Amino acid sequence: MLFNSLQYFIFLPLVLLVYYHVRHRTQNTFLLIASYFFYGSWDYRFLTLLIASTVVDYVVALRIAAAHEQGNATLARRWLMVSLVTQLGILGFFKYFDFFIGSAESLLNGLGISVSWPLLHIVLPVGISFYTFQSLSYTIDVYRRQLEPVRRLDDFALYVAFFPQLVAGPIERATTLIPQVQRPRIVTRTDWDRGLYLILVGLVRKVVIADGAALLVDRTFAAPHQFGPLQLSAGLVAYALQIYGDFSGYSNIARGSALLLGFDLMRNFRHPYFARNVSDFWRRWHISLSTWLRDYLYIPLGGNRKGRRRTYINLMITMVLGGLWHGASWNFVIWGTLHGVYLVIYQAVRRVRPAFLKSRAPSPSMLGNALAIGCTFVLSTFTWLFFRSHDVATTKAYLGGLFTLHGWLTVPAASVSGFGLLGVLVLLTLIIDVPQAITDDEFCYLRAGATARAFGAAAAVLLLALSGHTATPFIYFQF
Amino acid sequence: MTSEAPSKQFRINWLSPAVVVTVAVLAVAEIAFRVPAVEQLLPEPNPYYDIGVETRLRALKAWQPLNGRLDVLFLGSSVVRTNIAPVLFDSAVALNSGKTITSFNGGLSALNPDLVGFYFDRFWLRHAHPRIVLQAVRLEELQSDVVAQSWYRFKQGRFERWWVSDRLLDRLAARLYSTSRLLYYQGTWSDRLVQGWSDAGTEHNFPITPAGYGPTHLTLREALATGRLPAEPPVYRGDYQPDEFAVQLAALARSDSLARANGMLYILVNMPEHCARFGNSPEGQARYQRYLDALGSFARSRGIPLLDVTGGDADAFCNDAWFSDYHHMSPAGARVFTTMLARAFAPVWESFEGNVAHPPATTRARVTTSSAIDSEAVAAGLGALSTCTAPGRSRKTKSCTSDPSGAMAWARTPAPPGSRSAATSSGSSF
Repeated sequence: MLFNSLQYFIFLPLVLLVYYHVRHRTQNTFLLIASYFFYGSWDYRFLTLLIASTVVDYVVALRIAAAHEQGNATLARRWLMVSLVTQLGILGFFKYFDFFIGSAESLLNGLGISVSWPLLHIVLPVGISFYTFQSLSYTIDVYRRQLEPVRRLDDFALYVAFFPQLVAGPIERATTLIPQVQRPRIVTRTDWDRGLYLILVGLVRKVVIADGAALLVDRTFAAPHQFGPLQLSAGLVAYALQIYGDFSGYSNIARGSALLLGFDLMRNFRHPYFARNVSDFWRRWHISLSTWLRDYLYIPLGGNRKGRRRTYINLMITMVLGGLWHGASWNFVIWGTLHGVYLVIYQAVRRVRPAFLKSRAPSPSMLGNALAIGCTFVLSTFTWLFFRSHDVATTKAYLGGLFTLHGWLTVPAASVSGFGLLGVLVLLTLIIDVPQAITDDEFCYLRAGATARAFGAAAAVLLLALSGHTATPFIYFQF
Repeated sequence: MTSEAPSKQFRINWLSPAVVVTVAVLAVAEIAFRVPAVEQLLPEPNPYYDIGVETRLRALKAWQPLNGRLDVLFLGSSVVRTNIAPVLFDSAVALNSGKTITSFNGGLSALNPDLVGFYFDRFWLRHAHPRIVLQAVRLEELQSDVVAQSWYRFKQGRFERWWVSDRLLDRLAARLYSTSRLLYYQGTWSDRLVQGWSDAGTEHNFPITPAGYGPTHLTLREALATGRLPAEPPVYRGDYQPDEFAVQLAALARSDSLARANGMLYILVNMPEHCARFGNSPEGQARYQRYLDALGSFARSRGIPLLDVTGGDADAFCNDAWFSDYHHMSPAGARVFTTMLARAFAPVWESFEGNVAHPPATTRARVTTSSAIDSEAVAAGLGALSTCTAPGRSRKTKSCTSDPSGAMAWARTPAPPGSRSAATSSGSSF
């Protein structure tokens, strides 16, 4: 059941209808059933995996807390290991088994050792990367004594399976979501306004911008050798818009749906293409993942506390694993590695020339700001090439066509309208993001007068009605 | 409001400015899209996987007021679109039969008979009410192994996906989208802007005439010289036993039943291909003959007239100038084929004209088209009757450039179902 499908817009009102007429405990039980129904609509068989994963971490957290009470740190650590092995084992088996077997086989065959291992061709359960990370954050927080374990299994199960963010995040922290599960929730009129606003903006991002950009992207990546450098560049910019619109659109609809239910989920994107450097980009892009990696991987590895060299290594490990988290494929590893390299270079430059950066960072000129934003956008957009391209041949053809001196001024007349489409999509993205960035208020449009809001909503609905053929899956569902 | 005490706060104010303005804007847009003058200014919407469907619908809507009744609707894949010129067909039939006729070309790209049947049922019958349906096929389209690929493409369309779905929501969506102009136009603006970005989906690069004919101006020689076609022709190499064609023949049977149920005469046409596809060899001739035998047996078993202008000769169409690849014809080839087809059709038209009632515009019968194989209908015909034979022509060993003579044009009019055909031929040459 996709957020941009007719089914979801029948499902959500039905859920709200029942939800508003029952009390807190019943609400939680009902939401849990609705969440399992939502997840089971993809493949009911994987519900067992979700439930098993939930039960394991529920029990483990209670055991960790009991070990803490006994003052037995070793036992607590062992129980944490049970959680880590179980969750990462599930993730590793379903997501990475074939990848590692295939890669090892290629490596050995390359070394002249002939092996042939069978691949399992396992179907990847939807949202497994998201709910395993979310569940892990809970046991780790309990182990760190930052959180009391949840005594009620249904509350914890709802935390893991809460349908708005179950399949593609935001990866919500136990410390923020579990209290919202446990307490009676208050849904205000403002929550409703904001929830509907987020859903509407999310749909525009997904259906109009991302799916519109996909038309250009799919054609360009299908046969990159057919295109000149200008069209290939446009294809990359279109992909930057597509993946941003797709994922931030999902996050918006998830947060909007949650607000209608009285839950406040974390913001996952803060107009990332306005980032002034790569480090800033990662504070704005997929915030729930980048902060998760920071808190549960980078900092435990030592962060920046163990010297410069170790900091760079930690950064690289974090980004490579972050890339691998997206998918069991080398293109994601390359994408993560490149971002790691950018971050290392940025950190190194910052250390070498702190005064230079310091003097410009707080209040750079408009031109300096634009230059920094432009450079960061170009870098991140170029790196998306490796994210989108799923085979070496396409990557090579794309890079070959992009890095050429010829053809930059030649555009086939028939393709001019394609640039027009890209222009419209860029404009729509700017219309949504610029006022938010300037006011630093995600809901700045809600401050407009009633008439302006009415026409804005009407324009958005009209755009939605005229855009997109059908409900296309969100890109991040595959992760 | 707290969840403990649901209150009035959550009642949506249906008269709020946002709701009122949104409904008003949508209503204005819906009405505007229904105004013919506005519709003409807008690009063709594309709820179908093949953008050519809508192009044809628009052409048909413009054609009908000018021509009145539709006598013949040509159905089939892109070879029908490129190889049959309706206006030429009309005049040639009139010349040969002395009776006027109007026809429209409904050929659509990359369809096998199964999918042609779906479009016949779900699209053409909604918009056109011909007296005769003339469906053309060629060997490759009858092969079962092209089914999966065609179905994959077919299901990429919004409407097509709903046609093959039994889900209530899908049926509801299909109804909604075909009723609301706003939804019908969904995705049109972005699709039109992206056209021309690449070679993919370039149906609009083949504009059609008012009667639906979509000529390709490239010739086979040019295609080979510019590398658009591989130097080696795609030669048929299969055994082509009757079972090979069972799935697609069953689809033809469904289309026939559908036509009959709607009071239409259904006629099959064997679409000629470039002789290079049969390798200019006796083995190629034998393959071609097995295909024609299967088609002929099927046609006789159901009482379907079968028109074959090749006279059973795989080498009948060898002129490179007639083709733009090995099965789509150039305008020159289309002229030759259309004229021959019209000659073959004229006696059928003479004999049936006046006997076939024009189906009412408002009602139409339906037959089940969702079943994969109407095996009973096929099994009855396959191999049950002997195939009509055309007079043989001398075998060519290489491409020739001469036109086939008029004597090669054959109308294979089979005996009624259940009867046995004559030992020699059930066709009539002229």
